[in-house]
Amino acid sequence: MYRYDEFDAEFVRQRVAQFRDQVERRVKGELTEDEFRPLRLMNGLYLQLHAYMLRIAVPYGTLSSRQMRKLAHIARVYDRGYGHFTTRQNLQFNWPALGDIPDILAELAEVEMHAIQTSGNCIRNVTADHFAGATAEEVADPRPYAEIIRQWSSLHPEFSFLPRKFKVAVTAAERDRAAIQVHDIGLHLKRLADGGLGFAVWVGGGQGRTPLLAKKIRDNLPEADLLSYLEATLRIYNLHGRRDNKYKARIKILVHEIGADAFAAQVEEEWQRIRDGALKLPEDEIKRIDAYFAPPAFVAPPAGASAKPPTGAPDAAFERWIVRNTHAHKQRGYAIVTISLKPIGGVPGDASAAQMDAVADLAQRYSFDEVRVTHEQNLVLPHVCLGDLRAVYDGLVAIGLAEANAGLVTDIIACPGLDYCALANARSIPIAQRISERLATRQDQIGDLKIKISGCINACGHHHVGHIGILGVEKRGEEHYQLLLGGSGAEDAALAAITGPGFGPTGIVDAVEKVVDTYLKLRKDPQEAFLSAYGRLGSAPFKEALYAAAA
Amino acid sequence: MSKSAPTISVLTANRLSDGAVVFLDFDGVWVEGLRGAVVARSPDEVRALESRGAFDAARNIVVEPYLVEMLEAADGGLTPVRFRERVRLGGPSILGDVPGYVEAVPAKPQARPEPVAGQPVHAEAA
Amino acid sequence: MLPPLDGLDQQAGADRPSARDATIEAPADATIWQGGVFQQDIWVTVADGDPLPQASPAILSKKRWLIEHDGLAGRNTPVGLKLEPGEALDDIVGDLAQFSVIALNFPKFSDGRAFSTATLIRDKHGFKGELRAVGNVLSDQIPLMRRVGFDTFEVTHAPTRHALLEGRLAEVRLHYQPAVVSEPPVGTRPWLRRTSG
Repeated sequence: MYRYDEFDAEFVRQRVAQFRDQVERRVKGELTEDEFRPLRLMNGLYLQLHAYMLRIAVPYGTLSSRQMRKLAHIARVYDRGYGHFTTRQNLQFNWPALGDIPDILAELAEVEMHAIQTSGNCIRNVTADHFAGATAEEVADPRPYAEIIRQWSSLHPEFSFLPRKFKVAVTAAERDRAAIQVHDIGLHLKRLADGGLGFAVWVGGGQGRTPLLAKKIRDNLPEADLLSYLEATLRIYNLHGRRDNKYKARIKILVHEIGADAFAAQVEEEWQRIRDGALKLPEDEIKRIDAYFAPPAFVAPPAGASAKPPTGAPDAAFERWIVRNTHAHKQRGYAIVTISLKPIGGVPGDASAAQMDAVADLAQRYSFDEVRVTHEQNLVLPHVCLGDLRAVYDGLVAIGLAEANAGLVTDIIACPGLDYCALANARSIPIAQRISERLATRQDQIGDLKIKISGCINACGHHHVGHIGILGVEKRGEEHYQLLLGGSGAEDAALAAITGPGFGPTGIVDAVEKVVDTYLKLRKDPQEAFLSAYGRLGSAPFKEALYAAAA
Repeated sequence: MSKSAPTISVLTANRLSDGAVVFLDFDGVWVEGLRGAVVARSPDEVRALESRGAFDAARNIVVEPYLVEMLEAADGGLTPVRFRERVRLGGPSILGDVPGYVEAVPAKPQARPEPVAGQPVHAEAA
Repeated sequence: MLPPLDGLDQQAGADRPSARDATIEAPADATIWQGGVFQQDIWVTVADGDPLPQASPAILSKKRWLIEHDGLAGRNTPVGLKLEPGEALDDIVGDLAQFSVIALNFPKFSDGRAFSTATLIRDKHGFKGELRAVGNVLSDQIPLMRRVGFDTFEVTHAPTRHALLEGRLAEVRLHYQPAVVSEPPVGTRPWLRRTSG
């Protein structure tokens, strides 16, 4: 993974000093809240319902054990003993004091971390496939390019006051685990006709009040042109994105209103002007960054060794966990491990300081010191030797993170919702908890099913791309929930469709169970997953089950 | 909730220093919780509360003050009318299920030496 | 009801002078920060309906310029241009060299369009004259404005004026991307720059 050199370290130190000065001026009244707000947002500091919230950047979801331990330390010393992993691969602390923030940022700087641009109308954390560098499915690791974009976008003077936030995601596999089609810019790393590496560029995806899937505006951008093309795209957006209405200010609205072709043409014109300028990516710079992401020193197993992990005495729970929570690795003899942060009935995506420390130990010992954060609010140990899976599993059991439910109906994504967030209309976490408890005993039978819950129209829970999506609203002063079906954030991207009238807090749990029961009744066979069955059956049988007068 | 009962208002905000939910009390002090919160029962009193909130925001004590409608029970107990405000008053509803949750923030460590911008990078321990 | 507010200073915090300001001040009418000092503005920004001053350098809106510019051909005193965010450059590209100053307005400090307009004025159109930031110019944006090519700043926000006078703009002087202005490189990585001076 990337390691800071003197420049990078000095940069974050100056940023910390700058923010310390800004906080002092705020406290003294030299900055009003209106003036301070964009500055604190650019350092990841929100004011939420009950307290400040600090969002720490985890670039493309990659952490070392040392960094994870520092997060645990911050949770213990400055917060209330836990952190929340988010749908953009970041980490949130929910109770920091304003005066402590500069100290927290200084501690993060010691381990090459920061909270720069995790909020505000600027370019946010660049996310990537959480299996990058470990899966055989990719043409190359996309993370070096995510790192190059991260650097270029840091305190970019021209793009610090965009019309709205800007989110970039990168993937390199056909199976899209980075949800690039619902990002402002999605980049698909691929092999070009001349054998070199390049990108398909997707623009204008996003959720929220006006969900839209991205349009591909360029299919074959050579890697050397990545930054100049992004600069041209951001320049067009910064100049022409709407600023009259907060809900119409994302690039997706601009692309939608002028049309993808017209947008692409404007970008092309500016890009042709600058493509051979200072931002052309030199090959040796790409190689230099690539070197940070070189594969670790895998130890290939002897020829003829079993491809299955040794299980010792029969252990149904361990075997279920292997089936559900491990994924094929590109290196024979290794596996990718998903650590579910969705214990049955638990708070999705939360981890205690002790759990973070334990995961750091497991990463250091069994995963070449690397752990990933996924946009589905789980963690990943990317490089685990098959022979170590038992030890990893036992370690996870000891900290209560061994639920074998990756991708199952209880692996629910939920935003913090009204329990934390000042923007929310309804709570989302308790809904996730009740659904998880209701369906846990049948989760294996149900199979792959992604439920995503948002507590308001801003869709931080990504409900538009849930196989089952739930949107919390306020109706007559009480919490109310809309149900949506058939969404997907993967390469088969689709926006979920609302089923009909919404439900109350207990009704929505019943409704989800009815949808599941209908699926189980009508699927061709257990191999037909929910999303496929829904595509085949359409919404009619589900609506009927939900809304036809009950017997 | 019955809307026919008369509603009154209290002034709430977030404390600048830690973002905590606070209410203006009768002495003009911002306190956590509703006990002693000063209530406005007439348009004049509402205006007085609002201007006090703006004043204290300008003095950097609180941020984003606003009025919360309350229902007053016979015994004087106050309950926010809006669901959102009931959640805001009560704190997150799920803290009992949060892994590792600790109610009080522990004492801070000793003041640490300020990492000074411009100094050379020390060799980092692995 | 509440204790009365009599006797308490009702001034909003942002306008209240702090103790350290007692020693350093610039005259209130010296609003242009240029070359490390506050100077009086030699330019008159002319409202669209007002007559052009005969002897003063005058800054005009684009609309005024397009209407009047033939008539200005014989004028001896310099002319400047003021653009609002979102105003296009296409219809005056050929005229830019005639302006001694171009002023870009920041009506809200959060409206960042002028950062791109400035970049294009310098980089695409090669404008060599004075590029001035006007409107809501605050201390935290000034270092960014400098990097995209602004060289003068109209500053009326009191805390920003004090920060400039006292030389204590909190800024990050290392940069991960090249900018319009020429900056010394740092090391061998291709895009690292630093603010010199």
